[in-house]
Amino acid sequence: MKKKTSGRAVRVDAALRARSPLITAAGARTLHALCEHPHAPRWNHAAGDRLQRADLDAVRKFADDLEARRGPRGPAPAPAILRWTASLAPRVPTFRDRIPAGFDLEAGWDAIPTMSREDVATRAGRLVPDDADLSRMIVYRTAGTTGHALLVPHDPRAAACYSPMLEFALRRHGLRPRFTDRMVACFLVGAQARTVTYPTVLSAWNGAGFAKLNLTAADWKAAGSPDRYFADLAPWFLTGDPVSFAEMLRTGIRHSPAALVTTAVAMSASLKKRLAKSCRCPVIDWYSLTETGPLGYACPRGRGYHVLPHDVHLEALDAAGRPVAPGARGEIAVTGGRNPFLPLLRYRTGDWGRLDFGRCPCGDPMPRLLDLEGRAPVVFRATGGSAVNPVDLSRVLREFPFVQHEFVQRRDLSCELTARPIPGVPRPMPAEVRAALRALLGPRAAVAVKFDAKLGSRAEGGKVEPYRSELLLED
Amino acid sequence: MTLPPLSEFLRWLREIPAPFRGAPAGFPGGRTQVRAVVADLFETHFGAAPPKNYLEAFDRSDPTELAIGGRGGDGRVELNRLRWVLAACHVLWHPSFRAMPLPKAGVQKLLNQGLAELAAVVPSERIVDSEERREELVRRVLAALGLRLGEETAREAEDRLAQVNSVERRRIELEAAERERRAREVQEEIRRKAEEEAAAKSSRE
Ligand SMILES: [Zn+2]
Repeated sequence: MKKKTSGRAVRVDAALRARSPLITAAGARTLHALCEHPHAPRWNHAAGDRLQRADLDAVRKFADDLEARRGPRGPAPAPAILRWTASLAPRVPTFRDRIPAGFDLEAGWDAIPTMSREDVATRAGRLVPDDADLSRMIVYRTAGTTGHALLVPHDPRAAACYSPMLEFALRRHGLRPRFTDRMVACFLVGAQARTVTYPTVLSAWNGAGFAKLNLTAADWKAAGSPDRYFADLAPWFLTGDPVSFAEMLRTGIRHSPAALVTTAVAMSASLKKRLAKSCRCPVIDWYSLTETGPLGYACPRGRGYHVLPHDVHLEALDAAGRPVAPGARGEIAVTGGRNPFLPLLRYRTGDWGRLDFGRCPCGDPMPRLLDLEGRAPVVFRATGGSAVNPVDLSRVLREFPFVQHEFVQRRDLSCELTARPIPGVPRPMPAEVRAALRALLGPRAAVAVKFDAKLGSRAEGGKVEPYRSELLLED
Repeated sequence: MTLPPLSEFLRWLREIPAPFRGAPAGFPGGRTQVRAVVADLFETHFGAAPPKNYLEAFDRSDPTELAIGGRGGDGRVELNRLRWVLAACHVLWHPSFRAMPLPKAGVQKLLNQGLAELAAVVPSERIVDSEERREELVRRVLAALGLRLGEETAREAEDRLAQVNSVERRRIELEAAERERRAREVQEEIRRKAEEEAAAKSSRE
């Protein structure tokens, strides 16, 4: 930190100790600085890494393996994946349903039925091993923009493995982070009307400070507060998504971190250039899903995304769940990982791409994901110019009895909602829906609301795009 | 070449030497390098050690351990698995096997997948205190090698393995109703915990 924190001791109470069992005295001062800065945002949550000593040892071992166990992979699962699957097959209901006793995993892999988001959304309980100790289970809620929010069971150890994976990606891009409990390692930057925010310290980064924060004006004391806060706490690097980083530029934050790590999919080249120029640092793309954890990081030579964790197996599948020809485009499916409460067996991500098992000149032997196409970031704007996240719109629209909807914003900022009401339920008044949307888009926003009982029925395959924007992120 | 009777293999397994019985390296008091034992076994039977990414399965610091951390994450699951691997290696060292060519793929699959599946449901202490589990191990080894005892027909061998198969039994024992109850309980717990404070996570999805 530029402003040196004083040497005076900060009390660690029982609640803080429960959240951050390994917090150090210096870490407590760093946390204090994050909380008590005169321009600190209003936090709405408390969170810590919950790591005990043995967990930290396991996370460090994972970090070592992340380096030592990289190697070439092929379309067939590696021995470690076969062993992992064999070990879980008798103990996880969803695995038992798919894998008969004595099944030859190696020969019959392609015949194992795939898993999808649906299995997590409706039957997550069947993915937890029979003998799993639930006492340390934690649950993340993903704010999906399609369908309902997903509850993803997790554990502190697996969540802490994000940190060495981020470090790995940073090192591959030539950076040498050295985190200590006297500095702030990272801000996770968001730009939503409402999201969980908290400051903490992370023992996987030697107790360095970390904060998840939101750029929405309502969270800050004054317009200049974010800039002052970033400048004084000086997070070494930032994580976030394209929408949040674009908003960061707009908000006038001048802090220059060592790197920006951004959820990657479909960040436009021009925004990336602008971000890199304005923050004077590399922008590193990163591919991660709540259900799977981090899966890929951008090759430093620009040749797609390398598979990041060593303990997952990726496949590209056709619609029937069969592997596509080598190098062909398919839906990315994941097996393995380290979440003890959500073991993944041929889990379809909903993202499409090609897998390349060939050698890469950058030196990382792990295979690459090419032409990765995921859910493109969609940006909406309120009449005042601030970004509106589809997640927030989704939260508002969920309150109305709609089967599905299409929301479009035009370049002139006017919006149009077409919704298919649930039959047999009284329709809301369009004015009511408009008012709810204007709470996000601005009191004077032009919002047209119409109902269409056949939405999704006629279109090709009935597919409806719930959020569409004609605006560009860099607008 | 005929194999000795079952009783001989059971005796051999009962008299398992200390290094194959104790804790593997990486665990408290452990010394036996399971990886080295497996490499040695392959060199003896097949003339070469298996590839590196296969041998990694027999080090303690395997990603599997972290992934099964839900049980307490203290390495018990790995300890258990590696002990089964050592016991199976000991069976494979029986003099009668050393005098004949063995199918490499079968051995590879047994040590990696077959024992992972078995260890997932049976504690390794049973190697010491259960004659039936010792028989199961011997029969699993024989099945993996595609061999059978001289005194049995193929059908008899298959039936007997099915009788002692712990993984099969586990499936039958777990009543459907009991399973559904557990799955519902877990689902309820997920919903309940969703209202609680989660743990910090350093990046965004
Ligand atoms: Zn590369």
